Amino acid sequence: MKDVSDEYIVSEISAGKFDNLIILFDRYNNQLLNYYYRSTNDLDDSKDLTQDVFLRLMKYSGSFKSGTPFKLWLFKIAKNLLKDYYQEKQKHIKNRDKIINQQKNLNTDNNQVTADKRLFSAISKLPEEYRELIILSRFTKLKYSEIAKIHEVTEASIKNKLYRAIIKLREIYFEITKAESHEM
Amino acid sequence: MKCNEIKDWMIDYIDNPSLLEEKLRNEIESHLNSCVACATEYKQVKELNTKMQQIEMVEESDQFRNTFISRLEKEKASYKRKTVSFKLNRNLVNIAASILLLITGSLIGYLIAKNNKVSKLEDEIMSLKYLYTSSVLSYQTASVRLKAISYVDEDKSINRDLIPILGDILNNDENVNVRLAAANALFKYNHLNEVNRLLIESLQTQTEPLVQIALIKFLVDNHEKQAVENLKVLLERENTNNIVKQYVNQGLEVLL
Repeated sequence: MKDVSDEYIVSEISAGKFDNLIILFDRYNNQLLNYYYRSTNDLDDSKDLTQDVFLRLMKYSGSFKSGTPFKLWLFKIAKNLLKDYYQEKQKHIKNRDKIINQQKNLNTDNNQVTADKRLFSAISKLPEEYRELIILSRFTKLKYSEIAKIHEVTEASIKNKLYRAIIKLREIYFEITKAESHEM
Repeated sequence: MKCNEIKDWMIDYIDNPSLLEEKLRNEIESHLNSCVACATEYKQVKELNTKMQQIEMVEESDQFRNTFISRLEKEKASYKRKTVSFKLNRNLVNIAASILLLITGSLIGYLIAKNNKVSKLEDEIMSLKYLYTSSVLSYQTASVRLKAISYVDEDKSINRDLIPILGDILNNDENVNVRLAAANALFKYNHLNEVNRLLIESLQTQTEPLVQIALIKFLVDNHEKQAVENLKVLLERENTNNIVKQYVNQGLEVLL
């Protein structure tokens, strides 16, 4: 059965019918959860952040401009929340890489495949904009056209940048592999 | 084609070469055949890309959804509270409510935890029956009721005794999310005619858009043609929500 459009549902929410948020939650919670999980490496925080996004929608539904695709708006809010989250964390620990490395160390005991761990460790070492691009396209499964709209650039430039991002990832990935084989 | 030109097309080429025009694809391939540097780069990027695509997305259970719903309920309440002037004795009410919640919560926890003695299903029925026959519970304990239903819902086995109880909750509970949870729990009995009949009848009593939508989607997805009459009634009712009307219209198109 075809669904009613997101934009229409937002207009109902802004009219005070807040329970309709659950429909949007059902549609997008999984993408957001994966976006946050791959960005923070912390599942519990990611769950909170995902729920926060939808509660924030409730407050800001009135400022939604009709004509904008809802998904674009949703991910802009999600991105802002992630920024706040990093800032909050930085108050306690000076840089984000430290947090991620700490979590990496905590995770070393579980039986996640080594290759996956190496991959995520390499992703966490990427420059911020490359990292975000890889997370959005590969782990959040957004379309290139959607990412392009969020970043307000052309689809071609997104694809070009993504290729460069994966090249950079490859460098880091092989460095880690090399370092690990030295350790052994 | 030169090395720097080829980079513009590599993502498309890696994702799905057959989507590129043949001429372009041939140019890319002939460059890759003649340039060792680009060919190595392509091979390694493709390998990493495949690795990333093989990683599964994380999934969350109903528990995650239920937590969201309770947070939403809280947020809605604080929204309303802001508009009404704050009454001091509300604090007292809240404390009393929390204590009540704590007591009933642990009681149900106890009922469900003693799985070893009684079978789990019997416990579920007991706790549900307890909830719906006891007058102790006011609307403050919606989250407890939700929890009880989610135990039933998570259980994959079928128990006919639960159907009338769930039906009763679906039609009579005062909290929309509890009604919705009851509907979702009933959906897994979709092979039973009595359940589908119950859901069709429930269309007449439900006034909450969320519950209406859930019922409509379920009935349409199950091609329940007997629902047509009640759907039409819903469409003609003046106070039916616009989103719901859109669902009804689409549903009727499918069913008729």
